[in-house]
Amino acid sequence: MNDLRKGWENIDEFAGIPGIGITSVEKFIHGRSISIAGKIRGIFVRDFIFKSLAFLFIVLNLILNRTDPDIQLINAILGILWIIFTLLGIKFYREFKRSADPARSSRENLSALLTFLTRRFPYEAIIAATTYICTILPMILLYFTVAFGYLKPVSQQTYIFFSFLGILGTASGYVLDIRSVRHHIRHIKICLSDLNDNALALASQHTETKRKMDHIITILIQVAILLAFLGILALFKSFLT
Amino acid sequence: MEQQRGHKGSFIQLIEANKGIIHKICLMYTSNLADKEDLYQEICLQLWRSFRTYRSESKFSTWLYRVALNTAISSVRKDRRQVETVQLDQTEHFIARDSEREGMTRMLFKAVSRLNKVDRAIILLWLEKKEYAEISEVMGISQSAVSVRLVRIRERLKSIMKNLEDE
Repeated sequence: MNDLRKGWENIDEFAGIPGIGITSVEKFIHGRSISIAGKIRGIFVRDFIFKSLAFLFIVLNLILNRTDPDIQLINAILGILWIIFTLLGIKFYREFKRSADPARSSRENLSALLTFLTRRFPYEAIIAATTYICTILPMILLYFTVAFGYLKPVSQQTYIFFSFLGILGTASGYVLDIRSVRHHIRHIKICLSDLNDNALALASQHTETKRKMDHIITILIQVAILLAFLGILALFKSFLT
Repeated sequence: MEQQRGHKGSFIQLIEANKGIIHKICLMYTSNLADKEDLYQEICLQLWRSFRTYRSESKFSTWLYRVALNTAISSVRKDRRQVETVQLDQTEHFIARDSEREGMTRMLFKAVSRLNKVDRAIILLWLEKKEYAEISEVMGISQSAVSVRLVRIRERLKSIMKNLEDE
């Protein structure tokens, strides 16, 4: 076995590492991430960017349509939803940051990431998906206001089209986020099982005990969001027809 | 601002001082130059993020290995269709120009690349002459588990290397 270590010591004869200098290190610390944690962080960042856009559209609508109480009401509801989802998004991001801390042991790091991805991430995916509604609705209202100077009455067909667009965007956003994370979950499970069979068993047990409760809460949140969305669309329709 | 610059300066010094370790980890976990550079960047990024919260609670080397190995284990490749083996031709330029030692190093890398990601981390720490206690702290498994795993990994490496010699 000493041969192995001797072979390893040969690598110490590197004269230098090509292409890695001080400038590169400076560039690296501002670069894009390829780790699982980096990918999840990317989903949060993307959501916060869309949330900022939604906020901008809502504020512009409130300013440009301040004489129209119906539009003010729609935007006020969207604004309240925006505040709730943003606060939840920040909460989940903080939880994610704690889970993704790489300065812990490999076992703790992988277990925490697995727990976050299986228990918490589905909520974040719902929140990120609903950002779409909070962005698209005020964007449409803003478009009508800017393009025509007033809110054009919408036909039944337009109403169905916008509703379809909203539901499709939200659902596909949710499905895409969940699907992208499924691969990461599988990767972490394999690593945990390689690390120690007990580690995976413990993580799975911990996850399983919470899974049923989480499932019910997820369904309730989805139903509540769907009802809120349909309510807003109904308001939207009644005001614009 | 001045403090931030000093912080960054000491971080770059840290990377410079430990580039050999980071480089070895990258070699062990990647199969080509592009992936290696990506992983090097990722490790630097994660070290930088963790550096701001590092409070000397654990040994410095333990912290460094934890961050770097956790990053390597949980990294996802850009192109998943590639086969996970070390392309040794890309290491040619920095391996000692001594055919026997070069052959040994090449074979070692080839054998290590056939281990799973976790076993690669354990054997890397052992090859770096880390104590069982430190390996246990980095990986989060007991010292006895480290000992058992190392016996198995070394046996597996021996058998892989024997097969490679026969090929």
